[in-house]
Amino acid sequence: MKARWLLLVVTLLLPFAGQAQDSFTILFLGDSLTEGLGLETGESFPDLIAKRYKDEGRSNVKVINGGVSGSTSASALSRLQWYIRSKPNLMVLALGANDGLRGLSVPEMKANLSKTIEFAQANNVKVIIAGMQIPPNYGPAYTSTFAQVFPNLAEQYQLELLPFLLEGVAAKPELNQGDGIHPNVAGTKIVAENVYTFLQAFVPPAADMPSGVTAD
Amino acid sequence: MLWLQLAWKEITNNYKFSMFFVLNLSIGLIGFIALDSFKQSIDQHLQNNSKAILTADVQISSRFPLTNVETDFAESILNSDFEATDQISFLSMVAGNGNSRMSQIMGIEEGFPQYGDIILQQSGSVLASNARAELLGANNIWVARDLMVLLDLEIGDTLKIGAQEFTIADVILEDPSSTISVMSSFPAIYMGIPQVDATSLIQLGSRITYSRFYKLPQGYDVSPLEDIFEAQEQAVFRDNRRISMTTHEEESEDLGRILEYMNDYLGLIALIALFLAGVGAAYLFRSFFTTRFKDMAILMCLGGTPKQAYEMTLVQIVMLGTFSAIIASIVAYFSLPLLPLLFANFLPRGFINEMEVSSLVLALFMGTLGSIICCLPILSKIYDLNPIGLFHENVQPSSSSGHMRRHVASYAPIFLVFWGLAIWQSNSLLIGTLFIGGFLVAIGILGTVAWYILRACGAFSNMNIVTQKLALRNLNRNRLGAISCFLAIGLGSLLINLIPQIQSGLQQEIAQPTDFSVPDFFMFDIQPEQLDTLQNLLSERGYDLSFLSPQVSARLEAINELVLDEVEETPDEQMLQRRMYNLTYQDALKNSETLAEGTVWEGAWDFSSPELPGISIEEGFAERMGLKIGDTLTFDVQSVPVTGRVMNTRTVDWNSFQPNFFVSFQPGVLDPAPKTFVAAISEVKDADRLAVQNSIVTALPNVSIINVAQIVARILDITDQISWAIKVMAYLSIFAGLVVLFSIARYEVKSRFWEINLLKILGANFNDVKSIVQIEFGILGFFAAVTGVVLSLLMSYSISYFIFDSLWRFSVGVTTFSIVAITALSVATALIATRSVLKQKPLELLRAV
Repeated sequence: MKARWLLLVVTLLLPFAGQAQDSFTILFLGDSLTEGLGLETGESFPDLIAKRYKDEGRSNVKVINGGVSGSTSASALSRLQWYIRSKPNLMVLALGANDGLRGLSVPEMKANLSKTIEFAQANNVKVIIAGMQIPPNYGPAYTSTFAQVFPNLAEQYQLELLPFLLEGVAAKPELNQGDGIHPNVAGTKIVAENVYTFLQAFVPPAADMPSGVTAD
Repeated sequence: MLWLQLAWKEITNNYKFSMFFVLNLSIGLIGFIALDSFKQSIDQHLQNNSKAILTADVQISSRFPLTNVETDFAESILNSDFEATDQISFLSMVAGNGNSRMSQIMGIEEGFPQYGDIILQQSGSVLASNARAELLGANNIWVARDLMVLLDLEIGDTLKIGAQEFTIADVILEDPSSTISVMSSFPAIYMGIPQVDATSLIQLGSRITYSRFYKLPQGYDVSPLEDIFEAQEQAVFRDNRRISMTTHEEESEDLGRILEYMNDYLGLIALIALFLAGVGAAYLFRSFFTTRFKDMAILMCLGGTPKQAYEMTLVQIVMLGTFSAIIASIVAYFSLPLLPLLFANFLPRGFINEMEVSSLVLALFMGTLGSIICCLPILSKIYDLNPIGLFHENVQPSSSSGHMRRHVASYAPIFLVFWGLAIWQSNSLLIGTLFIGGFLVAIGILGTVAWYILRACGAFSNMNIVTQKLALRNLNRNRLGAISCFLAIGLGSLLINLIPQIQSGLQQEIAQPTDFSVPDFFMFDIQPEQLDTLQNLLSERGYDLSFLSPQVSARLEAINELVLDEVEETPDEQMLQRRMYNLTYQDALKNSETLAEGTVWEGAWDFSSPELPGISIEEGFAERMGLKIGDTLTFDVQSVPVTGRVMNTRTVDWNSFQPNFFVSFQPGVLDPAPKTFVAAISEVKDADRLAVQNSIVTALPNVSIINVAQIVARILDITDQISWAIKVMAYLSIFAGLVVLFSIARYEVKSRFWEINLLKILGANFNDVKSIVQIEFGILGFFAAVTGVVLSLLMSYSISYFIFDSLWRFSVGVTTFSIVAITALSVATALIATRSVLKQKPLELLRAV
């Protein structure tokens, strides 16, 4: 049964596989913030970034939105194993917020993320890790231990660190939905802008444009 | 004044008959008051239970401090007096004795909880002790028992929360407000709102829930609030909508639905009670009037006008009616509160049976004005009364006169009054109208059936046995009188059988399924590789997973190859905007699921098959999305498109408390996709609960485990009570109906005493008279019961269709019982009454002339 499924997947991915040489695939592995919970289709930050690449004529850059609402770091490895078949070149690892909100063990989260990073690196996927913070009501001890995990991992595995995914957006009512935690349309645009800018150094320019020209 | 004196004289002269009339009417009215009061007491009791879960009637909450604009808006929607109490709640990691645990911090005020009670280990009931004042007055906290054990704490210990040290003043044993939502499944810590500030945990970016709870006057109907709120919030807050409103009925959606059923059911009961009392009273009044025709004719002979004759009798009836209503009210007033004492073990805890003023008013209304309204059609007949009738042995108005129009019009007030009462009692224009409409149709059908049956009695009367011949001919000859008796019994049996018929369908829906047990724990986010560990962990303690489903996150891309991204979305289709679904896959239907339509797949999907893999859709979801069998759905399963075809729709037993997936795939398609598992554990012993929970948390820290035992038990307790109430109300309505039928049959025989005496004078012996009465009432009772029961099946089916989502089940037992009981009761009552008539001396007959 598994073999058949693989066959199906392989068949479906063949067109992509053919272009694999000159295309560049970015995988956003995240939670509801990545999925775009509460937003309309196409309004999540990976979707906005993908649209921007398209508008700039960078058709060689593919974006996979691997966000699953409510997911924790425990599911990161198995999900990456699923996506590895689409041969991502770059993974933005944006998981951990739900671990924090649910008060899960911090060392456990760190271990889950480590395994995921190791698997990505073994498969030649460059990893960017997004820093996460949790609201101050969880108590100073827990919040600081939690926030420390991301720079620690970046250092340990020599990763690029996006210091805080919700920089400039978190805790601003006008940029968040009514639940106070998920960015609204305006907030998501800021997140997309921040991430896009951060990614510029790692994503190749348009394949059909002279290398000196960038759209931004 | 003269009329009053005359009428009083008449009543006292015929005091035996008057007593009999008052007794019968009182019994009917007591039945009505009891049924109506009981209905309202049950309603109140269940409402209070439901309110205890929310601790209030209505709650508004926001992730931001509530603004005056927001509270003013909410309070303008409530549009009523209220009591309010504020609450602040948030999650925080609390550490003690080297261990730490996520907890729910609750800042409360005086006035919490508005309903229900919190039980503490030392102080007991929060409502009955001054524990709340002690909590609010110092840096004290109450801590949930689970957390005490986990952090190894004792009463009197200090616990640091944020920047503040708190003293543990007491331990929470029972908390009705522990709701079913994930967030509040963390153990609670209560403190006063000012102390919350001292923790310094509320800072920029903190995730806090600010709530205000409202207690509204008794009897306030919260059900329209949600719609009003939704309709108005857009206009007031535009894009700045932060508050949400929850009523106690919505706190648990399914419980709310059941409570609504219960409400409609009780409304129906009230209607049945009203109509039963109405049929009984109308019958008695009219019969009374009919026996007075002779007196009226005499009065008219002596120069009285028809109007005077009518008034004379009417005054008597109103006096008797009022007297009966007062007696019934007094008896009910003293006996109803005793009921819970008698059935202490049988009634739910805390149930109070109170006498309802509205029931009394209605009973008084029936006794007084009801009598006038019911007798109006006879008023019209008086004008046709001819004094020549005095020379007949049985005075009846001539029916040949052409005053049909006036006569028909005289029924209009009865119709209008009952229509109005029906709407008032059921609290719904639709139900009230439906009910009175059905009732009129039933009268028409019963009348027609009675006419033909009685005519047939004439045709079959050519037999040799004198008693049978006489009985059948009696029925045929006295067709009009017999029809009114037939109508009364038929309507009675219709009303009696209606409720139990609806009850069996509702009971089926509410009753706890017996083939599986409700969960104690839910677990989410179990990774595939953790399943073995989890199962081993449980089997070590002698438990097993009672539910296990894979969960695959996917995005709905297309329906019937129509790509949703390309569809112009109208507001109605906003449903489609949120297109992330948790799919599952399973071999067969679970035992909490029932096939609604279509076929179930066999085995796993074959990749080489030309067919698409099967999809099973939850029925309500299929309705909302407009999906039919054979439709195709395409999902983006984490960047791989998967298409399937809808093979069946299924319903999920809500009271199985099992997780419910809208979309379920045939196995063989989603198996390799990234997934997590959802699982449940059932029947965990109380003593093991904490240990089971801790061992899972320790071994599998990412798994969310929620203890739902308390909330499930609470909901089941309420539904059990509803189920109980539905049953008891059905029995009560059967009983009240039989009481009314009893008084009708008794009266019918008594009014025939003249005829029975005549038979006696003519030489009939006791047995002959007995068998004549037996046959007559047997025929009347049986056919009226059968017709009434058949009509009640039709009517209960349509009521279920319109009001109870077609929850209808044919109940053989109730149907058979109704027919047998009504026939037997008619015959038995008639025989008992005959015996007393037979005891009278034939001399009475001569006196009566």
